Amino acid sequence: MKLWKIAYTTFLRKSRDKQELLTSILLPLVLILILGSALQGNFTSQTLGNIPVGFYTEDEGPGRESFEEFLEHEEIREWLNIIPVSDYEEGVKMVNDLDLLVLISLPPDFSERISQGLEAEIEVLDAGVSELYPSIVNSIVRSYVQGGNLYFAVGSGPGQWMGNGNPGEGTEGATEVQLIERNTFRGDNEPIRGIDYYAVTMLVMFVMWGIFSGSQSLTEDLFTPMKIRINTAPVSRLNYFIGKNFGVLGTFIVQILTIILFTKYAYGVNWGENILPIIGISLLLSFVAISLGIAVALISPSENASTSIINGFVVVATYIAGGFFPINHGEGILSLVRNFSPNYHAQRGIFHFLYGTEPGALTESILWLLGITLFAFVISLIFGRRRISEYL
Amino acid sequence: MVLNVKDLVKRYGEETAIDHLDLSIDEGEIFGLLGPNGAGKTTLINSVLGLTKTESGHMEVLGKKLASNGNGVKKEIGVVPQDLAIYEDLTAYENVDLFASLYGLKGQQKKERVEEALEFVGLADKKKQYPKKFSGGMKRRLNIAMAIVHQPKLVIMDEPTVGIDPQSRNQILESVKTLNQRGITIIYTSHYMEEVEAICTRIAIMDRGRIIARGTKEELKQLIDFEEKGILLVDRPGEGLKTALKAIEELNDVEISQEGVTLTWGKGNQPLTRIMRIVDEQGYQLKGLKIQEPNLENVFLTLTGKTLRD
Repeated sequence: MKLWKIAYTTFLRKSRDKQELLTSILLPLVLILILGSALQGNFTSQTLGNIPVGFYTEDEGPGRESFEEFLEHEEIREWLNIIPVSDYEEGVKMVNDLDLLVLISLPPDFSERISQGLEAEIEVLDAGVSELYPSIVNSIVRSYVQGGNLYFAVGSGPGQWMGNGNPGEGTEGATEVQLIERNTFRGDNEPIRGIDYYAVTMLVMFVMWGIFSGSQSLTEDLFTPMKIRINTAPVSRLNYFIGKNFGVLGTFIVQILTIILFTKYAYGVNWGENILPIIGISLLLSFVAISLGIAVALISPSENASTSIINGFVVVATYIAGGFFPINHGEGILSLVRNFSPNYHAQRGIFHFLYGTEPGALTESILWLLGITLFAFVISLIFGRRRISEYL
Repeated sequence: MVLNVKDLVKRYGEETAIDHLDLSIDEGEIFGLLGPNGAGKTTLINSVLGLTKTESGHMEVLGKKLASNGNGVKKEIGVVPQDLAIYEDLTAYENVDLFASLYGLKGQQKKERVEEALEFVGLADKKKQYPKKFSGGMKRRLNIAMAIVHQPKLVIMDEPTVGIDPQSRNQILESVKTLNQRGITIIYTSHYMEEVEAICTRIAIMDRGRIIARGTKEELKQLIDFEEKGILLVDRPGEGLKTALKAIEELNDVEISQEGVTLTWGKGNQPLTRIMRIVDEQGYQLKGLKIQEPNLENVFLTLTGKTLRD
């Protein structure tokens, strides 16, 4: 009873905070519209060239050599940034994470099938975020297939390779190589538009700004005269604290529902058929934000320091996750660092429900989010023990 | 006994905030804790409420140890913190209602108690307004309403009148007396001597973490050997009158000032009849005689060598 009263009162107070309403609901709605419209080009037509394309094959034969020679060609290099990928699953994951826009894959028996005069396949896989990039890559690969960089010399018979790596030098009678185009999304999905993308990333970013709410829910009663009143009331301080955070969580629910429903019906954003799981991921992110907020409040020497830490963290976490614009993480340090961005995992989880990314992505993201929450509580306990003991 | 404290010690590093303090307060008292800032009043209150850990000592509130009867005892205590502890974004009613709920009140009883508390502090007609629109005095009164809504047996008020206008102060002092008449024991801390003197039935004077004197205000005044002072109001007093008055043995000093003739005499040696006679003999018309009695400020000054506002 007391807990719900505290939760209700907290919710009431937050819902009366006009500035908070403005920044947590109205601002994301405006930003989604602006970014979605202004940066639509990122998802349709932008300056072409240097498209990150993964190349994977276990084939060790001349077919591989021929295709690699083709990809090394100067004219191809102007368009594509070929990134060798050592593992197919990893390549698929990089496509899903938008580290690669396309993955080209040759099967292990590619050369052998060609040698035997059988049909062979080249797979071109994309994430479906854009129609443009896969079509460019497909055209290039198609020119390889149709142009006959890979061919048998007429009359030479199977087993004799005569590739010279020049696109367009086709020869009739080449063994047929099929171009298999597919993307990692379900076939019935439309490609992501700018507004779809930013609806997700802005929702995630503004839920993350809720770190302030988590921080405030603790500091408000820990460092103000209200502490005396609360500590002398016959209510468990842990109950009081939980009640306050339930109230904060209520404001998150309103924020998330408003953003999703408004953008769905007013902007026509594609939230797919799985809105409830998407809300679930967003609420999980709310827990992360609250726990991080508490940790920041406890380790910060002052409220100003706390504000600076939160502002910096949310901006960096959003950037790393590609929240402002899709970024190529590659296989370097960024691909490691992004795992510490709650935004990245929340976005990945939501995109999974929207576009059905690779199996395991959702579980992995949820585990990361839970891990970050746990980490935040451990940090709180280690660095804020004295302050917590004052409060609880 | 409402409060029983024995040999309480509280230190902040090297500094001793409460120094082997003993204190007992009976039911029905308005007990004043008087002392300058830093005397240890708030630390004592916080210790009693279990908000501050103490090094040693024994404490019982309403006959129970707070540590082992936490919520049971807390339900019987109302606390008015020194700093305003109100939510500015809740209405006056919602503020009081929240704490009524936290103290376990429900339903119709809660509603009635909230209305009653607001009525008591004179905010019933402002119950739907937000405190951010309130004056300092109104906020102080709301601070009190939140502490008494559950009708506690003991109310602890820590400097409840800091920074407010005289009218609001008087209103609060009157409400303290009314609460006491209803059987509630009050512990009232202040560094305003006049307030403590006006409402408290017993007073303890604190300095440097110790109680240096305690008793009723009359008992405290008895503790000091005070020189009483009187101001004689006559038209244009001259040196002749001064010389004549100096001849009175009981007078320790005679000074002519713009106010009149200031006379000082030893405690209990008031030579009023002889003063009047000399004024008459010197041909002056007596317009008045103001006698200044010792107050708690004098008591405190005498006992500690400093003023309450030091």
